[in-house]
Amino acid sequence: MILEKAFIALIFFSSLSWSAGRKPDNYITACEAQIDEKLKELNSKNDWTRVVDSKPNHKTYRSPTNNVGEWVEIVAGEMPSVYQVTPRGIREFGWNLKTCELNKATAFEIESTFINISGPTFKDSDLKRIIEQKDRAIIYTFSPRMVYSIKYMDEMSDMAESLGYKFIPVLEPTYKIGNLGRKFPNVKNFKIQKAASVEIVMRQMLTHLPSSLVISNGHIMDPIIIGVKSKDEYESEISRRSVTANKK
Amino acid sequence: MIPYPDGFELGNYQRVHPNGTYVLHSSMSEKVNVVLMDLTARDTDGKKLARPLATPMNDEVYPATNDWSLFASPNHPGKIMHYYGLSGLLKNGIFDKPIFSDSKHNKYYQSVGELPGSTKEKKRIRVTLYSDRRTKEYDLNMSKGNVVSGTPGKSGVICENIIKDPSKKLDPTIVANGKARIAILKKKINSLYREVNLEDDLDKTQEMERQIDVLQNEKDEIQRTVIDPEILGTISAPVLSPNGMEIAFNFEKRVDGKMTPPVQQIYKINSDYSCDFMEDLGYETGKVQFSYPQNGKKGSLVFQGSATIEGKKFVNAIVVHDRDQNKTRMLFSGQGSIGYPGFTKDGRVIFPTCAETSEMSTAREDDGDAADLHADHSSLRQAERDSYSIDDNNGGPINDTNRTTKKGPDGIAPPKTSPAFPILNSDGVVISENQNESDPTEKVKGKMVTDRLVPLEARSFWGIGPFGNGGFGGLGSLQIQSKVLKRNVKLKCGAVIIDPNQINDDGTINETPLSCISKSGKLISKSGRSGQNLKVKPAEKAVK
Repeated sequence: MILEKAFIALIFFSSLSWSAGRKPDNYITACEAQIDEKLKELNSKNDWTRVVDSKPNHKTYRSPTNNVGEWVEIVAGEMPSVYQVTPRGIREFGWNLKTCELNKATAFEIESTFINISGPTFKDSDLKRIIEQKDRAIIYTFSPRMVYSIKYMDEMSDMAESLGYKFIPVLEPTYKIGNLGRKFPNVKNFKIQKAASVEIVMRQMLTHLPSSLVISNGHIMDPIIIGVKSKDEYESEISRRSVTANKK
Repeated sequence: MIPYPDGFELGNYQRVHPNGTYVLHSSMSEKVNVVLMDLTARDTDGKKLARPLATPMNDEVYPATNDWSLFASPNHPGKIMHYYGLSGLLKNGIFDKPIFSDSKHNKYYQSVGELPGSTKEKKRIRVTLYSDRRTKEYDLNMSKGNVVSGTPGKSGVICENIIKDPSKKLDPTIVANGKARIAILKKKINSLYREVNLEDDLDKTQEMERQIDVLQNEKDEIQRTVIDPEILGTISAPVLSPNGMEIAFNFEKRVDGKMTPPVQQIYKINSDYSCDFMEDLGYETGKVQFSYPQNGKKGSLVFQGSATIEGKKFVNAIVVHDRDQNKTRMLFSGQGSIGYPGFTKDGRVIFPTCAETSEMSTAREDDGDAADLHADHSSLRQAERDSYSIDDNNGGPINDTNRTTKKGPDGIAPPKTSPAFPILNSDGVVISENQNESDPTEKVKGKMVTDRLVPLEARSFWGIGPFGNGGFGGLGSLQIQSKVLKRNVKLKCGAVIIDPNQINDDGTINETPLSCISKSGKLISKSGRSGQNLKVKPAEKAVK
């Protein structure tokens, strides 16, 4: 009981030092070396962002890895888990907290309407190609279900292109693509693909529609730009992210 | 769950009436942008079936008073914000006229709060626009519960103190020069970009790309050193509290010239429009909704959480954060589209969703699996995600006794549901009809989805009993999922009503009646006993 309380206290106090964008120091109170080793093996960038906790009394953090389309997620708490998320599937790792031996390494395919999409899709491999070619591009997620994301698509496209960025609209995956062009004539001007990308999901580009992901100088520029913006704001937001890219 | 008419194209933006009788839907998918969905309507067989009422409102409409006597409807022709009243909309439908308008305070993503001190004759509202946090107050004259006029009052920019550092106030001349240089650079970049797109010669293209990079770098450096030094951060998805005294938004802090990931924060708005920090949730969320004010309590927030891993799936989640107890819990999670959640005044949460339910063979359609879902209470391991579900198809406790009849709000029975989505005026007359112009391989809700391998997901929804006791403790997922992959899926859309207070610490609920959607998408009712703890085993067990 005492140990349990101490553990909860440790989790609580360590959580105070965790903030978005920082490496979550002391995120695990046991088997830390083994978990760190696993994260290293998975090429984690350790650029942690906290997301809504997926289990009670646990805190959830995610980080991109050095491989485009691959992320790691830590569910930290009494029974810590590490997940590796790739377009091929999810692997879950767990440890025996007494011996720190890896006691769980489960691999499974992703069952997700966010990833397994038929038809024209924008995949992580497409994103990787843009990055490798050092193209300047803005990935723009949208859906007719969110009024402004489609209403202001032309405007956002013009703004992106006026700054020399290729504008790539990506449709929310649960929306049917079939008659999009008939309902929304402006969409005909764009090549429409559905999002089928781990990067898009993990960066929460489907939580907010529209969202813009800036790619510049061979880097993905965090964080995403949320919502419709005025010309000045959008340009400034893109510029701020590009500044970081230039410095890398 | 209260089903929507077949063919209704779900929009993600919605607002919830304070007593849960209506939701306001905005979507570009239908011919009418904004509909009032009457959740108390019934079909000709007497079963609950939400009924859409057309309105002349536009884009993302926001309720402007806490009793929904007024709505702020942005971006009408001429860039005007129109203010409509509920009674007029119900009476005149799409032909209703605004009570008042303002062309000087209009932009997308507006948010409105009703300031304290309202009387039967007067109300004061605060309207904040997203882009630059411009805010304006209006005095409303009331008569018999309806708004009869609105007069603009105080205006200004809120939370400037957290966006800009006053100690780093910039020299206007230097900023103007910087902006002028940026404008020149942008023209050059744009011109080169157009040339690149027309150029076939690879060497020339690469040289122009290199020139663009040089110009981009100069422009970004000016932004960093000349324009941005006073910027502390930027915000997104701002929402005022119902009393207009607080604001919540995702805040991106600028640290060493770099934008950090957004986190949801809450600020108190002072009388001079400066803002004081109140809370930090620690992570980014979808747009939040505050609960209605309660004496001596901060109340709760409800929002869409991020897509997260649950089992082997990515799911969207509806999350409630109790500000008084500093506890957060997931109310609902699932794949597919989930719209904005909102609170009723008595603390229930309503949100729209299209749940995916499996389509099994006809022979198995009525094989009792739905009932089985609720039968096995013993075999669950705590480590598994427990799922608990009650459906509200046959009589959820929506607190509006005048409206739970077969007739519409104006006493006219709505027409029987058709596969198309009819939009009605307040007389029940169809004024617009979606012809189901679907992709040949994907049909709208209620139709089969073919030639696509999709996860089987048997799911039901749970509704509520009377607002009552119950803990606000652990986290319980409300979904039932299966590992089995099936080709055929039915989508069932509707509004889900959940009372967070009905969930016990262990994730069970004490409420009845219940029903659920069978694997074929058919709604099956099942009664339970009051006080009984109901557990539902995961669907992968149930379908074996």
